[in-house]
Amino acid sequence: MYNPYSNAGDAHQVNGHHAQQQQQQQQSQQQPFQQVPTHNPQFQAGGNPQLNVPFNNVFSDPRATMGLQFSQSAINAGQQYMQNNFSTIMHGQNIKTYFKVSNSYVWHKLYLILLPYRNKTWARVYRTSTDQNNNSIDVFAPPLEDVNAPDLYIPVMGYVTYILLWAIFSGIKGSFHPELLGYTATRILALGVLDVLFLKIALYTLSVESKFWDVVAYSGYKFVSVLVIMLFKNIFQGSKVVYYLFSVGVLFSLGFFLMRSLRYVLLPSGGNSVVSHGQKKMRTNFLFLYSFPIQLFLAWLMI
Amino acid sequence: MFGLGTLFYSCLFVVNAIAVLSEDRFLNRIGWGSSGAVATGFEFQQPGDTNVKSRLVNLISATRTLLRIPLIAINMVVIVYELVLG
Repeated sequence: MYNPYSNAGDAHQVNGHHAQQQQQQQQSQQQPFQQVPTHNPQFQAGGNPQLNVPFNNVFSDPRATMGLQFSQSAINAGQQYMQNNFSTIMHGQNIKTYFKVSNSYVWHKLYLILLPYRNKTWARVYRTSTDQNNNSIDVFAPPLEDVNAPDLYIPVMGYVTYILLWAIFSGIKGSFHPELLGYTATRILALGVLDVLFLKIALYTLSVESKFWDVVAYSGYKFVSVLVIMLFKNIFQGSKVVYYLFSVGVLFSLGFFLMRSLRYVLLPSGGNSVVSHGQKKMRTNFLFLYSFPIQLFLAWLMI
Repeated sequence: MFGLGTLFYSCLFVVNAIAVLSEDRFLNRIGWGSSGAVATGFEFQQPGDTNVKSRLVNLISATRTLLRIPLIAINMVVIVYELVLG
């Protein structure tokens, strides 16, 4: 890598046409006009202002420095946008309540997802609390106190565990490479986004009030079933019939769990419901459609 | 099977398709115009937004008015990306 300063110095010492042509060929990307060697020779004809700091020898190509500045301004703009809009997405709802779980809650919930047939009540518990104006309002209890409350801990853990298990099993089969982790992460993220988008649009169309993180939580519970099926498939490599029966059983349990849980979201049992009979029928149909075929399809894509 | 890129492209295509629907040539013809569904056919059902069809119509017209201008920018970025980087 040549030193631009020394060439510019040579141009003034030799002062011959031959040398100038030679050093102009060498500095084919540097300035065409004669500048003093103390001046920063990394100017193009466009006159891009440079930082006169000692490390500007690294980018002898002015296009690279322009790229660096452009990317810096883009990053700044992105950070600005995130700071402006972060509060509307994240802090609008208090997502910390979704992570207030306990060990017994997690065990009970996992048991419910896999075998939801012995649960007695599915309604969420109300809890009176005071909001900002010191009025006592009814809010839903956090997952700590109520097994039927949706939480975000199990979906997040399920997502990470799915990626790790996928990597382990593909390593056992001998087809692991490190990009597989990223591929799996983005693939499952795309499927999750699709699921949440579909559910959110459908709930809006049916004019059901729903919170965004609730929808994310309910859609993330299928990771548990998918993980169990994947474990069964890879550990007990028995006959295909047993595997199909087992997976159908687990996915039926998932559908049952979702139907029961979402029933109180879609069909409120209070006295102030404004849905008509036709609406009720449509919502019930959608509930069934979502819980069984769509979850089956998405889970089958993930196995 | 498919990742975030495919999902982003397919969402972009669907939103583009919704955005180019012509208001007066197509949507009003099939009764999905943003002005038509509100005024007509409400004798038997309660007024307001609780009808599925009216909510869908509202959703379509809202996405069109909101996303027309950002869609131009996103489409330009994607076109330049596809041309330059294949």
